[in-house]
Amino acid sequence: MRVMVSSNGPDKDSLIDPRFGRCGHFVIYDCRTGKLEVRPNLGQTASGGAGVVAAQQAIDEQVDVVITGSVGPNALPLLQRNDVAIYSCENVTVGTALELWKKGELELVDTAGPDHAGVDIAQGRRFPKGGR
Amino acid sequence: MPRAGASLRGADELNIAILSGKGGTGKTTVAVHLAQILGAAYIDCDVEAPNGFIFLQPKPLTEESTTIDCPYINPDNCNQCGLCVEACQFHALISEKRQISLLDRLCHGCGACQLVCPNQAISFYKRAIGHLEYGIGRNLSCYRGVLNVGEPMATPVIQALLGKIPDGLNILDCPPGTSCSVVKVLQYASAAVLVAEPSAFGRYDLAAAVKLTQQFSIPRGVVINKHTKGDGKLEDFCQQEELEILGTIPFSRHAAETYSRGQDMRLVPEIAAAFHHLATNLKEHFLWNL
Repeated sequence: MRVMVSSNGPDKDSLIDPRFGRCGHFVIYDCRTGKLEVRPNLGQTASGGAGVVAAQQAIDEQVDVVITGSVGPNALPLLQRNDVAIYSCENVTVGTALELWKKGELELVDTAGPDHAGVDIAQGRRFPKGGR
Repeated sequence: MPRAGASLRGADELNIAILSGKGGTGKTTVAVHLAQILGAAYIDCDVEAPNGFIFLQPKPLTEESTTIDCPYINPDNCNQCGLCVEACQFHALISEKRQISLLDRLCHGCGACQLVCPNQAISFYKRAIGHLEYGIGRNLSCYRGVLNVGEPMATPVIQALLGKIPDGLNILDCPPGTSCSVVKVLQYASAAVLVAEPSAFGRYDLAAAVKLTQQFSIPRGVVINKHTKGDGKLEDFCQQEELEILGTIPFSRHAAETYSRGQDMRLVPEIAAAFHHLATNLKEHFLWNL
């Protein structure tokens, strides 16, 4: 099993980044080897469709599980159709998240979070989708 | 991407774009009244939330669908080589475990996927994203575009709309802001009228809109709407930036009530006078500059 965690940094002591499409790094834990691999999130700098690019990366890396804060409406069905289970976790390190996952203490995600959540957070918008 | 100076407008069109930066300053108010005074065609380019027809009530309306060519991938020919996924600049194609799939709302219809496909697996189908409407209202030719609810891309509908407007004088009622929708309208504009309101937010967004029009090297002027004596900061800003103030429309509660009933604001005498002066100054200023 390969488990992909959206992360603020490149190792197990980095904090989880809750934004699947816009996080800086993915830390991938391979259950077979017990090793951690780090990848830059290819979707981070995409002008649009960041969640799509991140989901494509997850498919290409052949992961079975994603651990993140929330996943947007483009990425969610892509991950689900490609046999990836999504778990929600925030405010802990990557290492702790993996421990919680192994103990079965994380919640499975089956609905999409809001679109562009990562962009809104980065631009300081706590209550997005305001009027014109 | 806009190329400043590469205009898309027809050779015999005189297109005046009404834009603002901040929303709610009075673009549509200015546009529908100016169009009537000047006898121009009224074009509502705010395809996400068009509102000009509420005032002009054109009838009858002819409609025409706007479509984008999206790829259909034939599973018999596709070997999932992934070249189309790599070629797509908009991340609309995904290489899934068992197939290549399309996220249709991200597709810009550029056709790059078909160009790179080595297996003739890609053909195109037309996906409707909105429609155009045309009618006669208050003796004016009225055109507008309407983007389907949920569609993220307004520019293809705006482009289809502006490809269909008549020769002669056209008032282009722009979307709010300074995003790619407004840029798309400016690619067709001969001149720009910036509608400003005397508030701090208004000034800030006006500065952004002015900067945008400068990218297009077209003559511009400002209309101050909802004008009161106030702190004069807006007038100072215009003087600083060497922006011609084409007219001011006074703040008037009576005018707002008239407007809220969908009536012609020129029923209020001071508003009628303000629009008359605006139209005169506009003709002088832009005819000289064009």
